[in-house]
Amino acid sequence: MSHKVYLYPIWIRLWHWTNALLCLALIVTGVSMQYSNPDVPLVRFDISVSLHNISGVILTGSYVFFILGNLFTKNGRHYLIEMTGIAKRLFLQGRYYAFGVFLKEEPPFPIGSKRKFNPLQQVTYSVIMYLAVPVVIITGWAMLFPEVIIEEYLGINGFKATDVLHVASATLILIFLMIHLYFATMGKKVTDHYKAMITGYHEDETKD
Amino acid sequence: MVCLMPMLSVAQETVEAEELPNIEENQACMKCHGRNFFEYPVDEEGNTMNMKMFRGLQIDSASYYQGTHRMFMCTDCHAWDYNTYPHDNSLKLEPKLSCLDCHGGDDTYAKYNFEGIEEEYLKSGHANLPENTYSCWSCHDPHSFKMETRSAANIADLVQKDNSMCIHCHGNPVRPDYYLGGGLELMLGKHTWLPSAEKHFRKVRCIDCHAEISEDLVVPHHITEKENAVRNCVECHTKDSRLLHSLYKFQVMEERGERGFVNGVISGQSWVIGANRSLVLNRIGLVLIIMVLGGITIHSIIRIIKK
Repeated sequence: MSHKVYLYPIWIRLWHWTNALLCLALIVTGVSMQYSNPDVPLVRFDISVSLHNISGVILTGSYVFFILGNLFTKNGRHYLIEMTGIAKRLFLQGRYYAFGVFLKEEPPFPIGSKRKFNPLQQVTYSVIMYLAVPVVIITGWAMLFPEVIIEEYLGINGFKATDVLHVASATLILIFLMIHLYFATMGKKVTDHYKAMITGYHEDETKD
Repeated sequence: MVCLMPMLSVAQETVEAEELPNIEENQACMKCHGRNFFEYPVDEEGNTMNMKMFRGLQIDSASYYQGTHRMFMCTDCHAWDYNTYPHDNSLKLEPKLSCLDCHGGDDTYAKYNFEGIEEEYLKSGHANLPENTYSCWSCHDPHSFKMETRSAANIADLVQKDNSMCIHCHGNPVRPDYYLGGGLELMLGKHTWLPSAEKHFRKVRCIDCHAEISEDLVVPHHITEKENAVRNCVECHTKDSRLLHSLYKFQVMEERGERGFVNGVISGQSWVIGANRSLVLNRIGLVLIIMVLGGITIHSIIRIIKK
């Protein structure tokens, strides 16, 4: 008989959904600016600029909240990657997603109170939260105050480099979000993981 | 001659001596007009008194000898009678030349389309100002004019020089007829709606928003009323940016672009969000997104089949 574990405390759920809404707003307005077309405006350019700036500033606050939460609660340990045997664990989890899930195999790294992320989640979440998001935030602030950007360094236009880095990291986050939204449908029921992030309770996949 | 020497040394840094055939002849004029004061004869015994030279009559000889018109003798454009000093008062009524007086109807200058410039200028509010208060020279001083739009290696320098023409009147409180604000701070106050206004002022010319683009001219000369100025961000911040038809028009004509970027002609000098994009990044991003969407679709289908 399955039972549920309280995996997502209220602060994580609040942060998660705030982050989700901000990311959606930033992606829509960001795409509107990057691929702006007067004939096919997704969101009007000046509105996009304002919304993007406001969302970016709030996202920074939300990120600081996340970092502090990870520093002062046990949640941070889920992002610490044990490098020994990581390749094998990633392979096993990848194989499960590619084949095992269709063959109704048991997950190789079941989620429970001791393990919140499987190896693939752990690596991707860490790369996104500790690399892509800081880069997108730092470059975003630089573009909010472009006077801080070095105009030219070693023949490279500083604003161009900043924008390219911002768009590259944002693209990475968009791709992550697409995969994240899909994998969130892979509970016993399609909506199980979504409900878990609302209620805080997750189906315990570990065997008794 | 002594006072001319330092100025010549400045001029000679960039201009060869053979390009200045009339430097000696012009010295008689520069002796007074090249300084901010001059010696006025007060009696027939040769006594003089120093008098201030009005700024509008001063010629910066260093700028003149680096300018496009450097090879001319002063009296090529001004009356020969100016050779007599003190000048006759009636010479003040000498009709002033316009660009077309020399450059109009001449095939040598056809590529600059001076007639088209005149035509566009006449549509501007400037052309309706009181007679003798505004002319080509109000913006383009023929004594220092340099043809920079077609040679500018650095667009930011061109922007600064071009914008200084506008600020000269529109930011000058002693010219109340034209005064629109005065100083950068107050000009910024007129553009509060514009995000990063100061950055815009350093990267684009006033005329890029305040002039109507003409396909026949490299530099637009129809300055529009402020109500008709560009306020729609997407006119510049898009793939077919307005800047390609104005500020970067000459570079586009010359096909001077940076490879690997959308509108590389701009990205080599500046970076305009919406107009500039990295082609490599675009393609990698698109391929990854298509792969992810394809993967999700295939995975979903198999999940449904195997359910």
